[in-house]
Amino acid sequence: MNLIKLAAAATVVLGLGTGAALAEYPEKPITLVVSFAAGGNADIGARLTAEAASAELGVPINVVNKPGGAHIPATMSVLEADADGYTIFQWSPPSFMVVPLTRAVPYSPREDFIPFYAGPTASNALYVRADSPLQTFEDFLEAARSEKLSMGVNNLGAPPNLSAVQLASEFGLEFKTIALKTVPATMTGLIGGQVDVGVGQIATINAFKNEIRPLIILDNNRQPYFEQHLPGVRTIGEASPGKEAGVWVHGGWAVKAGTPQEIVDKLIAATAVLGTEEFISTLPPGIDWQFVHGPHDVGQLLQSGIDLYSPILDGLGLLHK
Amino acid sequence: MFDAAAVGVAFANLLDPFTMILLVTGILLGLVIGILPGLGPPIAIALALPFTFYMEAVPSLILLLAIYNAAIYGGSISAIAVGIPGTGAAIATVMDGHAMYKQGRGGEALGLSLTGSIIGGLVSVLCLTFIAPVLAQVAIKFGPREFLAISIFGLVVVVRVAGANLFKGLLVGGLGIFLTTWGLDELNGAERYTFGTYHLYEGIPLVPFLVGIFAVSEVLIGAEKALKRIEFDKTSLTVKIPGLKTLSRLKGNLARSSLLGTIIGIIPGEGAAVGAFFAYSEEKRRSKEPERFGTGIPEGIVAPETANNATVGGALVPTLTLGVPGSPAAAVLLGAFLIQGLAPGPTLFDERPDIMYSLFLGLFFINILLFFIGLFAIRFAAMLIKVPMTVIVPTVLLLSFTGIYAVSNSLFNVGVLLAAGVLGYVVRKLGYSIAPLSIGFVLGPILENSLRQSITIADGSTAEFFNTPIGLGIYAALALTILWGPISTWVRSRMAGKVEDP
Repeated sequence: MNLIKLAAAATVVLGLGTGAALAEYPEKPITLVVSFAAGGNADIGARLTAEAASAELGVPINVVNKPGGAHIPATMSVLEADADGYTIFQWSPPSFMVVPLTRAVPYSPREDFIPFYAGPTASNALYVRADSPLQTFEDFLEAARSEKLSMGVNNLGAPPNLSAVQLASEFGLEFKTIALKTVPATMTGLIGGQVDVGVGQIATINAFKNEIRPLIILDNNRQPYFEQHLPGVRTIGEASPGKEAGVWVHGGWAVKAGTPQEIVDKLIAATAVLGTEEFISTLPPGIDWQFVHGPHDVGQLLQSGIDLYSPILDGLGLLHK
Repeated sequence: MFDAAAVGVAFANLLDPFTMILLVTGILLGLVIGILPGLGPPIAIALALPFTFYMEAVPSLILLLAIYNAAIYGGSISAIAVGIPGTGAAIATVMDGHAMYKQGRGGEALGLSLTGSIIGGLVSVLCLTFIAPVLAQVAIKFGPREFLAISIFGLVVVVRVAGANLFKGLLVGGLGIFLTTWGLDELNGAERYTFGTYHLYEGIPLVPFLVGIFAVSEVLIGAEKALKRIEFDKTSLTVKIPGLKTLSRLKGNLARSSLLGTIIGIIPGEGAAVGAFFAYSEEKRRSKEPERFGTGIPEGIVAPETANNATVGGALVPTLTLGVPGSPAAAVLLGAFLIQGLAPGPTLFDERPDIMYSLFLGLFFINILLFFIGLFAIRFAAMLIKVPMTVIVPTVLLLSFTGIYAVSNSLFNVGVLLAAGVLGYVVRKLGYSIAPLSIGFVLGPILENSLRQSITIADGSTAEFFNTPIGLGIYAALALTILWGPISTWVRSRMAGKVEDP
């Protein structure tokens, strides 16, 4: 066996491979890193997105779940790979917003990554038990001013909690905040009487139709899905003009900074399919969508989240400085 | 409350060929692991757990439940045939089972253990099917103060029954709770024992920890045992199912042991082994000829074997309704629910009645199929006892490692698996039990969160902290279980004194 010849041949093959990568991207399967465990809403959304984009790109997109470690191990694994467009990160509110705002992380979402697409979104609403004496948002304000109501949220520092904090500061209220781990568990706590009011997402109503009742939408930036899930329910601004209410829950795709522009462009083109009616019809009803394409617009979206949540987290003493 | 549509879906789920194949596979795997000395139900479930990751909820849970049931039964085969209990649950079966085998009545002993196991299993599933939905209605009222009470109750009960030494049990249970405090404080974001690594931000991961504690520590212990050849006579391994006459003579025993096993299963904490011992000693106490126990009588096999399988249905009651595991094996099973994105608790009955009914029906199927598979498989299965440790140890290790890595794509989790294995090994070498460690680890977060939430709710008032009728009932039951031993001893000594008086 002529080893030298073989080695030379291999070099040529490899050389051609890397040379052609730019021109012919993508030529091999792409990995999509998801920082959530398989099976949840976040994972299902990521898998459906990967499937649709894979058809556009003509190569498989394999979803790899790396849960745990406050989403940092998953995020870092993308930065440890090459900036060649073959490793995509599925970013989400914890990995690109809440965790970087609240603690020292070894990455910067906007400097180390090129976030180029945003899709899934959610807004929050304030709920009570179906048989609660609080019939309207005004009843709630009156009750909350006369006694400290117990407020159920999923996790401290997560968007439902931040909505509750914003509500408290805008109206000068105080709550006994009980963190119940997940949004469904928060609603269970509400139904079981452990908390007086609770913050869930707008789509949460679908799972508990007969047991809970919305009082108000905790987001002034009206989206089409507000009416779809909670028809006729007012936003904070509509009920009390001048009062602020905002939610920032978005997720999407990013590649490592330094990825060649042609590759990013191809990926952006592939994600265009995600805004189509055909794609949206495949999605489960618990996920809402607001599509943003391109690094510039997604960057602005991220900045709006930082602007919204920094002061709220600072007020809680959670902002990392 | 009865949801006919959900029952229909449950039937369709179970009749799915893939689910059926998994059900049978689970029974075979459970039997194998149950028969192998040292490997018990929690290990069996822990080993299979990572492989359920990419399955749907129903097939994966059916697989694990089949393993759970069959492993508890499988332990009795080695207990009878070689006098080595295949699982902790079969320790009580050795006495009469192996004695009977030595008298050349091995087939009769195996038939009794099989029949008892199936009856115990079926009765407990029946109890589960009727108790769980009712308890779920009560459990929805459970808030932080009630969960605090139930987790304290669970911990103390485990500690009391797990070992002879209360202090040792408390110490290891406390260690389990301490390890759950690692990671970010959920209420104020403080970093606790993260040692500067973000891998520990969400604490020590549950599944690698449990697989390490149960499976890896077991193979480490097994690896150092001397390899001795096991010899036994196969000829008396033809199962003889007890006749109706024998069964009707034993019906009181069967009924009592089934109920006792179910009740012990329901109490959060200890599972099959304790159920078996309780039933054995209860039957011995009731018997007119207690001295015959241990000489190879049917009563001594039926009682522990019926009770240990009855703990399965019982253990699932608190697991499904409260999310508080009723046994170490159920603690691992809880991990399976979490992998599927299902949070066991009262709302699971409302949200996914189809899954609940699939589990109930599935358990009936499992028990019935276990009977037939058990009948045909025993002869072959008994040969497994001869599998040497040199094969078991690497196989279990390989399964643990690949399973954990496949789920998380994380070498850190493999490290946790190894570290937990070593911890489990050291704990056992020092003469402590790993049951309180695992239950402490599972109950720790519930305990911490419910305590801190209770304090928030009470808002500085002690009266408000204890303003929970259900919680006070649980505290009273706890006081009773702690004081029952001393009280009954005292009462008995008084009674004995009175008899002697005149």
